[in-house]
Amino acid sequence: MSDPEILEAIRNGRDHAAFVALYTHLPKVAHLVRQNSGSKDDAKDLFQDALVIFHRKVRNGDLTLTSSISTFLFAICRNLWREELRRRNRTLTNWKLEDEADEPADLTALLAREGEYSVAEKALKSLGEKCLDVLKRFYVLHEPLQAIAKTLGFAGEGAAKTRKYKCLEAARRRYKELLSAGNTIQHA
Amino acid sequence: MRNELELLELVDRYLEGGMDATERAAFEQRLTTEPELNAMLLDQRSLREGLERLALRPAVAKAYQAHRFGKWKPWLGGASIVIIAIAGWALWDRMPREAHEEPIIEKVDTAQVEASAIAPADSTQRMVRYEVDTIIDTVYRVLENGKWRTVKDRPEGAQVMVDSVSAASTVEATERNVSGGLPNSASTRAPLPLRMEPVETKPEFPGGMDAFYNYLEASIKHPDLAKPLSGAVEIGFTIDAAGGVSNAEIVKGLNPAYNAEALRVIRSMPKWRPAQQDGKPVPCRLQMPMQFKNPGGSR
Repeated sequence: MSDPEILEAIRNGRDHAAFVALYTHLPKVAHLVRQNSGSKDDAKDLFQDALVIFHRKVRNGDLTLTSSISTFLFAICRNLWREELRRRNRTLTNWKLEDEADEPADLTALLAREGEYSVAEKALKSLGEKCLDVLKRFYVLHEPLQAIAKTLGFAGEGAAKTRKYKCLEAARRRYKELLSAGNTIQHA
Repeated sequence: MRNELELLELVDRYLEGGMDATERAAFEQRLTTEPELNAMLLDQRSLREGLERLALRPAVAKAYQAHRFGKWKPWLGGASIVIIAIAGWALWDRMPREAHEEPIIEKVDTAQVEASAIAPADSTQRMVRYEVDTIIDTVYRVLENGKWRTVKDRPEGAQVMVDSVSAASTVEATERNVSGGLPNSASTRAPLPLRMEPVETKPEFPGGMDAFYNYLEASIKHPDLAKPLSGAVEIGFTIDAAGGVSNAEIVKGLNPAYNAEALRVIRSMPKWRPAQQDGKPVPCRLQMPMQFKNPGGSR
């Protein structure tokens, strides 16, 4: 798939095809990570984070690609990996300077909120399965409260609404905790 | 809680874009004076984004599996590495130490002629390459009295060793020798009796084949071309008795940049554990396609 085809696929919800095509860029990232004190799994996790970020940017329409997708993904990964190494008190040792040149200029701005988003993801993951289900149905799948109540066996719309609120509050509390625990990295 | 719930709904509506201009302006005005509302907005935005991302994870993981699987397809379809690795490194054999009386003939494509027109440095090892349907121009190499001769036409009274296993456009790298004399009459077209002695142990990449594939995956850098290509570079190399790589050569190239990269990766491999025969390490010739799957190119 070419770059425009990948973008088109993401916009049309053909996520699987797009992701499979995007994985062809993994080896380059794996190379970077493994050259810089990371494992193959680190590389995979990092790359998957980058895929999620990329997907969201495309879906939200706040991405103007000034380079190829490959360059963009690689730049994201390099940035995230630099952060990760900083967290682990390591530095990138095998850094290729020539790669910096084609880095999208607005990448820092683009990634500014990524730390918070990944903390939010972590907070949500700590919720119970049912809580997460309610929130996902409401916020991601945009199911009406009534339908959610019916599917998940709540007494009615009101009960679903209360449940949603409580789950969200629990997630928010956890989110705040995580943020303050790691406040050396996260900038609001 | 009542109040909080209402605020939350307000924030949700704002983030959904469900407010009209007047309402939005009023809400944004409130944000400047109510830090708690503002904080709630920021948190809510992060959490919603977090939810979206969490929802994407299964698709990302599933695609990874598909990618892992798909990656093998070119290897399986394209060629002999798998055959060599799994079924077949047993197919090679040492050349007999004594000189050959009868000519041994190889059928090769022209791309290989230059590289291999010289008899291999190690006279006990020889590689025979069989090409089935991708040959553009066929030539024959004849080994006579320790010297290779290249001829265009198939020599009289000799049998070309053709691999019957490989049916597609694949290449088998095998080493074998002929036992007994070659049939003199051209009408005797019975299959040539081939003696195939399995080696006791095959050459082994440190960590096994998985490690080898990982090494390739991590090491191959795609040449940065204006018009990137996808395809395979067929590469041959010898794992010598010390485990080092020697005589790496392109058997079938893709383009100079890719060929060079394939050679670079092969030449910079860590030492292998050499093949063994009769308890002694022996050199072994291997051949494999290296697949370049170009990210941007057509698939």
